[in-house]
Amino acid sequence: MTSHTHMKQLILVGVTAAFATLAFLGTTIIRIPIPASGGYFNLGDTFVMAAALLYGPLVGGLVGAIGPAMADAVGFPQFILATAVVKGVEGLLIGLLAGRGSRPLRVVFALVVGVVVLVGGYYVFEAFLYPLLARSIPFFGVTDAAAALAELVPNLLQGLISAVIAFGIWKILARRSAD
Amino acid sequence: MNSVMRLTGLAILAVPVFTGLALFPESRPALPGVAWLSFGYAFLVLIGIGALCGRALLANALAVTVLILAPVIYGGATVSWLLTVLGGTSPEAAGAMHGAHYVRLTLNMLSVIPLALALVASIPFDRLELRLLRTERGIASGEKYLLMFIRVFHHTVYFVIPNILEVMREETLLRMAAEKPGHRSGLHRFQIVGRRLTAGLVQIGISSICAALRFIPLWAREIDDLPRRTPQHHRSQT
Repeated sequence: MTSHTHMKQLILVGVTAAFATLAFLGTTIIRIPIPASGGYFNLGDTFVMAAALLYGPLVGGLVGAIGPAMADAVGFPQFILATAVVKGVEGLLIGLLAGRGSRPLRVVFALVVGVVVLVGGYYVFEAFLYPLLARSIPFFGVTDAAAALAELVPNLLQGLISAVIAFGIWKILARRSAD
Repeated sequence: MNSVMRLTGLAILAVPVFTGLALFPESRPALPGVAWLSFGYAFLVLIGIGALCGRALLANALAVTVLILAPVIYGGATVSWLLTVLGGTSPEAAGAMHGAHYVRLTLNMLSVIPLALALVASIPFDRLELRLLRTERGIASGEKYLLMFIRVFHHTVYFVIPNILEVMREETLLRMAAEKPGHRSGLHRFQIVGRRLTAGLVQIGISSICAALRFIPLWAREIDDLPRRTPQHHRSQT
């Protein structure tokens, strides 16, 4: 492997680490209350979406799978599996659908798909997969269909607000890099 | 106490709850459907964390646990109860149907969350980086990637985020964004507040990203220049 390729890979690892850490800290530290749902909005998803829009599907998928799962590890480890899969797929799909040098409409479409994956993915895990897993591994017995239903609206709000902020970040940073 | 002993102790404590092994399945119930030993285990975990990691970490971990636990337990139990009542069951019977599940869930979360927090806090990331840099055998490619990850993680956790939080506090960014917009009322006022808040959060996001990415090209060059571990190099050392 040439030194140039190795450098590029090191930079890619660094970028992934930076966004994953920001997603981790954005989930655990920066919280804004949402009076409508009584819950909190956090910046974690924003960084997953921004990474996918700015650096493509590989970085987006990795950041989604690593960063928010790290936040779950220090708060709610039962959800590591669901978070890593759902947010990994979310980052991957947003990066794939948005493409390189993309137009705003395409980015909006990618973000909408990302929000659908976020809300639907968590619902599937919490309502069906976790209760199924809990039959053999009690560790996963933390949720059920009712709790999953209660999480739909907060997750949707979280996804939509994250998408709006990620779009703002993409608009400014993508324009800067184009200049 | 060193990190290895602390991590080993925490891992032993975590075995029942992380693997789901029922160590004492025949214990007497404290409540219908909830065994005495479930209470005992949660208590043992908290005592163990206090002894292994100190009272300060235990207090912080418990505070975080309660913050996470309260909405899950109360929200989940309320929705379950409402759905059962809407299905035609009497309120008392609906409460009895879900009570044991949510008490078990509370005990589970009271042991899992503090254990996870204590385990992560016990991993010595800084010493890991030093060990990688001090090696005399050269550094393998995988170790270089790990070094990069650890360095960026450290920089972001200890420099980027504290600075951003400081800027947020000094410039009262979010407070300014949430201030009442003059004498306007209704939907228009709501739109102005929403727009200001979004702009503030976009600004925080961009500042965090730029600060976190700032030194990556420099570190990549520095780490790339570290001596590589080659088979000849490895043999000459042994």
